[in-house]
Amino acid sequence: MVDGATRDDGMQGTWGRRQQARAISCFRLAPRVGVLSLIAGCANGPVVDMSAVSITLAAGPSHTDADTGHGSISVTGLPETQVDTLRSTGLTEQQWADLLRVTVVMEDGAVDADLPPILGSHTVGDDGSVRFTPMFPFDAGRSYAVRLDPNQLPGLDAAATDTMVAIDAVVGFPKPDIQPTTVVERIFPSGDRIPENQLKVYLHFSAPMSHVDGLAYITLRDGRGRAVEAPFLPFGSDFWDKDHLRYTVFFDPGRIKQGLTLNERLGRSLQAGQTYTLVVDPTWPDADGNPLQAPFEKRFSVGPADTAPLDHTTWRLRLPAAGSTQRLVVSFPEPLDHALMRRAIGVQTGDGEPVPGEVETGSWETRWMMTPAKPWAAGAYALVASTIVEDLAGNQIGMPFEILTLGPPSDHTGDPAGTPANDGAMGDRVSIPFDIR
Amino acid sequence: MSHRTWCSLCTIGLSVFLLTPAQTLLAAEGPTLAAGGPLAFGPDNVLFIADNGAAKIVALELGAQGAGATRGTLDVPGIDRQIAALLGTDQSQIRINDLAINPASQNAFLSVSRGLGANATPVLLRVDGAGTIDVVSLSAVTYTELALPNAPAANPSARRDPRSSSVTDMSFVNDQLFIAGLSSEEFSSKLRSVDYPFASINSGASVEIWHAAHGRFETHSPVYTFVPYEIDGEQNLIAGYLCTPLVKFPVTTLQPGAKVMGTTIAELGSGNRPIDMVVYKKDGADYLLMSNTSHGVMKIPTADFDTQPGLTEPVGGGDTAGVTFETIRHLTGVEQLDVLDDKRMVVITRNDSGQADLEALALP
Repeated sequence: MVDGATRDDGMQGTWGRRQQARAISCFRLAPRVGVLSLIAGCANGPVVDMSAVSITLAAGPSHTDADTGHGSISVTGLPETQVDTLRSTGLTEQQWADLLRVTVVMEDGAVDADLPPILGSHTVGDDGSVRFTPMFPFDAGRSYAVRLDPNQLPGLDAAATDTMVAIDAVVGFPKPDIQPTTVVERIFPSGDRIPENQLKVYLHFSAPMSHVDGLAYITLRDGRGRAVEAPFLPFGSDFWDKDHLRYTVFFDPGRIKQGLTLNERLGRSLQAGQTYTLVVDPTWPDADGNPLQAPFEKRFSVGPADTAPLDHTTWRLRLPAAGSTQRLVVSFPEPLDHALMRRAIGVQTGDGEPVPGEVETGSWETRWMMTPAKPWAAGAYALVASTIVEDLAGNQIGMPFEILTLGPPSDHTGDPAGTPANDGAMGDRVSIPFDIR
Repeated sequence: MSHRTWCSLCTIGLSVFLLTPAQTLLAAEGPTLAAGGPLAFGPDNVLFIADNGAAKIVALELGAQGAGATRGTLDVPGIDRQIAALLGTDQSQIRINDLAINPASQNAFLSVSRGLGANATPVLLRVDGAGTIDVVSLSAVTYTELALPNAPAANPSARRDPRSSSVTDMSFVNDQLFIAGLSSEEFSSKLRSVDYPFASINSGASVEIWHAAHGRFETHSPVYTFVPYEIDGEQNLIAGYLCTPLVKFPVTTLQPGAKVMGTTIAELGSGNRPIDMVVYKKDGADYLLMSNTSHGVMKIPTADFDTQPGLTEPVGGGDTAGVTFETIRHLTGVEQLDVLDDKRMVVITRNDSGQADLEALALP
């Protein structure tokens, strides 16, 4: 017997979308003849006629307030006397689980008898059905084993117990048939030339991705197609943005920083003068568990290492006219880090008030452009940038990724010998004044 | 070419920003978590949980849920499979993010994600002395929460994405909660301290930790795990960096406006990330126990933490220097670690076949 139901409660979760769900398999495994023999064997006890019992997976809405609409397993056809007894008998959680036990069929196919049943609640409805509602929604595409053991029904004569055959069923919601649509939309740096000590790469996806370690799906290949050994920082599950749309790949700083063991043993992941290809494996699952629609590749040529700090005095401004909404354009002599240049560069009025506007980057991250929300008023302004702005190699304003020593190290408390302070706060920033006329 | 490690001294460049005026935080019931991250126990059955999906720390007043039916923690072989079965999914969909032992009940608390997709659900679980696994119901739990500040932005129209950093470790000592985090945009570490009870919405101290080496300051290096430890009467934090220097710095230096130089007391080898660390006492001596991704579990006597001079020279040959340590050979695959009592610890280990086991073991 196959049953189906329409889910129309709009709840959040795996079944958060309004959709139609059908039970992929909902059937009784115990043959009716077994039930008949059971009845014959219980001459002195209460007769439990299980012939009308069926087990279905319903997608809700359900019949009690306790049901949270996750989808629930419903047992119908129990004799009225048994239903009345269940209503009047307060079963413990354990007794309910012994009577109607729902377990996961693991992906390796095992229905492990030692595994505990799924947490959830059991209720008896006004229509005489017994319902199990899981604490967490049933996963689409996963099978669940259901066992109804009539021997555990309350009120049975002792002689009737342990003589009846349990009814087993396997139920589950089908996995929605969704064609892969997620792709890598953009990659930063967007240019095709990077320094030997490139620090990180941002991958932007068209839809949210799963919470997995993305490094398993990324390969760096050299010009001959060989995979580069251990190029990236070896922990990758923490570097998603909030929406799981952007993934940050850090090159292993242990190979970037001069003098570190990895650097000395393996050298830098990237070698100047060579070309490399970053390859994204399309099996990388998105948030719905689907693979990417297509593989993605990005080819880079590699230039010399960049170890110089950013110098904001080299930035050039193209000023808009007063009364217009023309863009303010800032040009840099080298590409900057995409995320940081968008976040940590802005415009203030002469009074220090921030000027809102739409920011874009362009020309392979060598340009920052802002279109103001309102026409520019004539007057004094300043371009402000936090010192956390970086170039592609992680060199910040006034501070390279690797700082030369500032004197003999010691464990005293004090100012680290004039090293530029950089706490990421907006107190550490530079400004470039300009006037709009 | 000699295998040298230049990670020899860490400098802590410390500065502080106070963000918003103080506001009173009211306790409420039934917190909402977007994601369950690291855990740390505070006083009186208070459990701090970092919500990396919503950039906040939630202090849960567990009350009666701080203890299961049986005191202690019993082994649970195949803990991930058991949890998956209870939560109605496959073990491949279970991620155990952190483990913390409640010192009051000695029950183990696990911060778990059910599912790997966009709808992954955070679940807080308790394992008691009978090995019973229960879901801690948050619906009736009283809580206060502290929003972590947005990443600094100069562009007022920039997307304020608080998830550019995620909390990697927390620890509570002397009415203060210390929080370490990673950023997906900046290769650096933020260390923050806040007073508890959360009297105000105050970001506390944000510390940029500088990791210096012989001849160079490695200004960009994250702390991944740390533990409070008193050295010669002074409260310190012992921090484990990425590659893997061990650094001490006094808690009193975490003051607004201060710039502090910390001390690297050990170099524990490269190509490695510390996972977790605890301090315990055995036979009258204190030890630091540290699990690592590549170098196993290290037992480090703390006796020399006070006198060990800051490492200033490159480390030759074997990659290690500073205070001595012993690698505990029989402990492999340790992913989570906390002290259970004065003689035992609870670990979650993953074997070669991928099974995760929760075990109470004697402290080495």
